[in-house]
Amino acid sequence: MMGNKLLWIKIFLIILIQSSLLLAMIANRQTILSSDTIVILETRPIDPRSLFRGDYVRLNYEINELQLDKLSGDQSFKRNDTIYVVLQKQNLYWQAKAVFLEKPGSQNIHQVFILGVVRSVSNSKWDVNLKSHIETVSIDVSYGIENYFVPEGEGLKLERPKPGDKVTLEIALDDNGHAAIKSLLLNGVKQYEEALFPRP
Amino acid sequence: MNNKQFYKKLQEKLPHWKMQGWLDDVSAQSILNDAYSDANNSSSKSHKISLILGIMGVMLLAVGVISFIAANWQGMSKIMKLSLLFSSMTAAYLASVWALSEQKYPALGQAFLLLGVLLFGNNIMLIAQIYHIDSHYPNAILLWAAGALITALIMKSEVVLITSILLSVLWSGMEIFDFSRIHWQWLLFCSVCSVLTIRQGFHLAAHIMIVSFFVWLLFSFYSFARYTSVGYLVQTYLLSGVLIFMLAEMMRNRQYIRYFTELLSRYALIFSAVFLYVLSFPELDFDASFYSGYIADELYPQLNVVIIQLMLMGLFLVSSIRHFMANEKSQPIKWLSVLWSLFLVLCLLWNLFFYQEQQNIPVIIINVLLFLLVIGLIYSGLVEHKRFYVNLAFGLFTVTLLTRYFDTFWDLMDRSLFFIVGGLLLIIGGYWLEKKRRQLNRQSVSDMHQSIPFTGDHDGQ
Repeated sequence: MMGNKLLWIKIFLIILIQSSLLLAMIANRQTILSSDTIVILETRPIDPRSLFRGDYVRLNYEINELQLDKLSGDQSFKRNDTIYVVLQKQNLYWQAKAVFLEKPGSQNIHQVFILGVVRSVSNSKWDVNLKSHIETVSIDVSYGIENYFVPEGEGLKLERPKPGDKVTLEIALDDNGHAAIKSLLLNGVKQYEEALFPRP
Repeated sequence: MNNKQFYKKLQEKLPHWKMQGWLDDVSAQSILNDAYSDANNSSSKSHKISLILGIMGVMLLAVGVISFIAANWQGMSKIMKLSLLFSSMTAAYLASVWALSEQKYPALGQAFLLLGVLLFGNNIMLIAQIYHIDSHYPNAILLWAAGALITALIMKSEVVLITSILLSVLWSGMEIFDFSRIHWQWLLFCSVCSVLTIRQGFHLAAHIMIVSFFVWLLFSFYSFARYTSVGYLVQTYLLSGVLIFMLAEMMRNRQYIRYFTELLSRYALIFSAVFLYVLSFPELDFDASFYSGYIADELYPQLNVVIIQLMLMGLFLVSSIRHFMANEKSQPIKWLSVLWSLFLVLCLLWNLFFYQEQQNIPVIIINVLLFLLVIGLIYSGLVEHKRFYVNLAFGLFTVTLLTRYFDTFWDLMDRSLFFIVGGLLLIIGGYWLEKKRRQLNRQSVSDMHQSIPFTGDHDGQ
């Protein structure tokens, strides 16, 4: 009888620990999603070769590739560096303004920034107009919002938008720059919205 | 020898032992009865079958649950999805309580625990999907492995511990290959798993834990290769393998870790033999000058590689002298073994500092050392009754011989003649080697029986 009681306690403990880990994951995302800081990011035309795998869309944002000579802040980065990209609203969409290795301090309290990880550093770039490589340092950055899971079969309109269609994402940012996708918009119209309790 | 074979052997031998007066009738019958009950003990076998069937059932159930969720995923609200995920995992764990209480169905209980762990992993992936989480995906596997390890620790479950070890290797593999990192963090995970394996005396988990360790070392080769030449790395790996072997040999007298250290010494010996074999190739690249610019701003400059190797060589020399002086009974063998270690270190030093000058000398010496190692292993195998040493020696000898045949005659002989001679050599050589190996194994077993007739499974290798 005693043995059974101990068994119950052990299993309860396992359920408690594992559920807590899962709830922590959910709470973390819900906290970011409930943030008041919302930015809208533009996506580039998506590469059709690597775009739609299974039922998720690979998103390629304008801010994934940062050309350092066009930005202020730090200028030297390595692969796997954690960076903070300061965003500024220009017309409707938010774009990168500066990039730092350290979290922007309190003097920049009004700045909106997003946390990213450097995937690669490149010293040259292919210029489409000149049709040659130009010397410029750029970094490829991942923000953890590059995948978007969609119901099966509905990825095509996002995968290959019609000419003139624009896919944008509403991104919620917490105080430390962690990002979460809040909603996906096609030509400014919300297609999917991420909420725990759907609005009536 | 399994229990049934042992029982049959006893049936043959006992009358002779009784005639010799070594045993009386009662003792002989008691021994025979004991061996009979072991040979016909079906409970352990049926437990294993139940466990295997249970695990297969759990796999099917897990696939079924995941398919059901996937099929109805779009029709569910987010809160419904999350409730389903949590309740399925909880149900699996509660089912394990039912099966494990009063040891009703222990094998099924283990299978349900495994199902709970699999559903925990499934839930991590599905929550990541619900929230489009894309940041550093190996963390999801780490979380899964950690959850499994917690379950293994609390429930002392070998099946779940094995799952956790395998997941941790997957996690480390992702970090190493996808993010080009030297992933030391895995060693912490490995230590916790090893402690649990030793404390609980899990045999299968011990095998998997030690193999995982060497697989992780091989994975890490990819990361280290960014900082130095392959030749230097092979040398470092060889020295590390031999040192692990000696450390395991030193610790094998401690009863509570004996099984673990025995396995560790065996796998470390295989690991070392493989890297000594790799070192016997003349084409190995020791030129690290190419890397010096690349690693200028990295943590592991070339100087560190040299210092690490020198330290390992020093350690190897000291420990091998200590090992051979303490263990070898015959004086000539003792000194020959020390000389072998000394020559190996000299070769490694040559490669480290004078590689550019004369490349063939160290390669020839390494090949001779490899051949001497084969002889040494056969000798130790016979003297210490370790069949594993004899088998490893024959395996190493065959592979080296074949390689040298290909190296030497590929360019010299006509292709058809090359394959015909090679084929004939393989057939005849294989037959001869297998015959000799069996003969030596039989001799080893019979020597053991003559010298220590009533000790435990000394051979067992």
